[in-house]
Amino acid sequence: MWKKDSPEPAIPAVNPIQPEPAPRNPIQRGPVDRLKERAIIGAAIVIHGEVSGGQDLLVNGRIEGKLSLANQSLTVGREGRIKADMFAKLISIEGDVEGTIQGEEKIVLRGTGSVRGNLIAPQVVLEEGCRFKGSIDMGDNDDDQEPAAAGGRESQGADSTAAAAPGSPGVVAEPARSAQATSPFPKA
Amino acid sequence: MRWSLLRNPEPRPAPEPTLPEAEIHSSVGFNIAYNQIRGQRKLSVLDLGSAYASNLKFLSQCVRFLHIEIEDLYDTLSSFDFFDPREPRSYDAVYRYLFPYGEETRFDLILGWDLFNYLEELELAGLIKHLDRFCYPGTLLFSMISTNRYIPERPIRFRIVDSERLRYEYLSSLLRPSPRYHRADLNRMMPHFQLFSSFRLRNGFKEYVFSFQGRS
Repeated sequence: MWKKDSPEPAIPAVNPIQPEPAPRNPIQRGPVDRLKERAIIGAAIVIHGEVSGGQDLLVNGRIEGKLSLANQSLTVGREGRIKADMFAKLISIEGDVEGTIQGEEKIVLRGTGSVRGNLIAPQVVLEEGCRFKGSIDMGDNDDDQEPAAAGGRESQGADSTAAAAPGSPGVVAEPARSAQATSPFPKA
Repeated sequence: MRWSLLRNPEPRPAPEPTLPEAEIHSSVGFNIAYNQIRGQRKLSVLDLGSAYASNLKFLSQCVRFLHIEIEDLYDTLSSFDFFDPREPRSYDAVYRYLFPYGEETRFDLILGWDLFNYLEELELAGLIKHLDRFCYPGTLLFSMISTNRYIPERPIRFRIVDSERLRYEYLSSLLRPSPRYHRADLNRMMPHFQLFSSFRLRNGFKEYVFSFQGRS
């Protein structure tokens, strides 16, 4: 049994001087801070249309249409499924992509990545285990002609009918304009 | 109907010793092709095999600008089950779909690897006829034809080790009969290509480098 005169259980001492951590409120942060972050399109998000913006982007969801991020990095995560033409400074692909992918500096197709389409960049890297079918244009092309027009297949971007906002700051979604290439054959 | 490469007789287990997973062989034929293309400022390649980092890296280091089409044709054809081999126009339709290049497209080099061993005569002739339009006089075609009675069930995957060596990677230890095409067969199926050089390897492959002569 407990003794009535037993001392109360010790309570941890609280230092009243210790400041509480500042609340994380993204609204109070400036636009510069926001742009340093990478926007994320989550796995449950589906976008039909054109996505453009001025910050790095990680895509784990699905996009059908067009994706343009000048001077920014674009990562297609393992869960990402993209049927679109894409443009960015640095592009890393870990998921599935179908379309024309143009990198200002570099494109890396990771070991888990799969691409059916065209890769155009000064530097293209295929990692062990990746799956790729299509064309690659890489290196210094001094011609005025666009690399893709020098002999590549036509873009097979996705058809789209509706626009949806991805919900990330700095990224805008618009209806797509590219038309889907039609196959004369039924799907295998 | 399926492509003939799937209609062929049941593959049989390889006799002992079984095929290794991978091995490296010298390739005089590839070296000949390499010496013809190196030093060019721009290079346009059609690779009928699989995409490999090492192959892309090697070819990109040969030139300042590389355009390469990678098709993995065996893998693609194997997935087709709507092709009627009795209808010659089927070949044209399939190849038009698989090689949707612009009229101005011309390749400097076609890497056929060992794919031709897995196509019947009509299929191979149809493929070459279709690719003719993307060649110019001097376009090189590198191919490896087996002289053995049996070949691996699926095409070997070739990685470029350097300008003189290829790494063979076997995807299956099963074997299937080889068509054992002879030079006369190839000449008949590839009327616009002329033999540039050929070499027989100890492993039973005969390496061919053909040069496109133009359509008369």
